[in-house]
Amino acid sequence: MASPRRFARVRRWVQAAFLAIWLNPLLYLPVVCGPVYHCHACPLSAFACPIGVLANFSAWHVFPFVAVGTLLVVAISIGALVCGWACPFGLVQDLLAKIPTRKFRIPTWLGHGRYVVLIILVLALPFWLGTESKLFFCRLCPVATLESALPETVKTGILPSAPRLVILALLVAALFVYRRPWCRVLCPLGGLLTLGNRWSLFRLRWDLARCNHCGKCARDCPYGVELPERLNSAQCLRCLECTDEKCGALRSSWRPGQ
Amino acid sequence: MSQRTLPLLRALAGLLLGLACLSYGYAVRKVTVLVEPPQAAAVPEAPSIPGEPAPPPPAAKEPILVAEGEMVRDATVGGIARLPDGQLVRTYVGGPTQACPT
Repeated sequence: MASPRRFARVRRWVQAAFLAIWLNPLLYLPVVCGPVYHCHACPLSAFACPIGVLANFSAWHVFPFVAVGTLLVVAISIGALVCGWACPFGLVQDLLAKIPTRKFRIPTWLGHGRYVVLIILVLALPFWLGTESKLFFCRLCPVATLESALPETVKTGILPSAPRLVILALLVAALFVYRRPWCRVLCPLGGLLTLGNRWSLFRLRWDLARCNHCGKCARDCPYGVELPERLNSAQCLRCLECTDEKCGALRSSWRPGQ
Repeated sequence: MSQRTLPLLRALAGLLLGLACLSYGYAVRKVTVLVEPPQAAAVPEAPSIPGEPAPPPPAAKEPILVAEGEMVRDATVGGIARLPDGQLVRTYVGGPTQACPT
C-alpha cells in the first residue's frame, strides 16, 4: 500500500523537472507550442505559449491550426494532468500555497471565469483591437509580468505598466488565501485543458465497491473538488492526490468511459 | 454501442482531429505576409543632411508565403502586425523588438 501523500511529494519533483524543460534556452524551439502556461517572451523560454499564440493569431485574423492541434492532442490525451504535474506557474502557486495562512474555498461557479477570460480577453478583444491595444492579453498577463517584464526591469530599469503590476499584486495577494486561484478562476489554458477531463483517454475512476463514503478524498483535495461525485469535472487539476487515499476507491486509468 | 466503445471512439476522433490540425499547420499551411526585401532590411536608413540628396525611399515590402510554424515563432516576439487593410506585415527583423507586448 502506498504511503499517504506520496503523490504530493513526487509531484513537486516532477513539476521541478518539467520547469527545467520549459526554462531551457538550449532547447530553443519557438516554432513549437508548449502545452503549459508559460510566457514565450521569457529569455529562458524554450517553447511558444499556446495562449499567447491564440491571442496573436486572433489579432492577425488567422486560424491557429498548430495551437488548436496541440491543445486538442493534450486535452484529449491527458486532460488537465499538465496543470497538476507540469505547469511552471502551477508550481509557483503550489509553493506559495505552503505559506501557512488560512486558505478559503473557491466557489465552483467562479471556474467559469476561465472561459470568460478565454473568449473575451484572449480571442475577442485581440480580434477587434489588434496586438497594439493596451487590452491585448499578453500586456495584462501576470505570467508575462512575472517571467518577462520583471526580469526586463532588472535588466533595463523600466518598470512594467501599472495595470500589469496591479494584476500581479492582486494575484499574489490571492495566493495567500486561496490555492491556485489563477488556475481555478482565470487561467484560459486551464479552462481548455480541464474541458478535456471529461473525454480524455487518461481519466480518474471511482470504484463504488471500495468506497465507504467517508468523504476523506474531498477533504484532502488541495483544490476543493467535490469528490468523488465531480471526478473528471472541469474543476479537477489532476494532481492525483485523491488516488493516494488508502481506500483505493479512486484510481487513474487509460480507458475512456464510465 | 457499449458504454466503453463510444467514449473511446470519441476520444480517438478528437485525437485524430488534433493530429490533423498539427500536421496541416506545420506541413501545409502557409499565410501571405509582407516582408522587407533582404537588402532593404540590411541597409540602415541614413540621416538626411541639408544640401545632400534625400535617401532613397524605403523599398516596397514583398509578399511571401510564411509557414505557420514560423508565424508561431513570430508570435513569440510580437513580430507580425496586421495592417488596417487586412494584410499581415512582418515587423521583426532581428535584434531587440519594440513590438513585443511584454
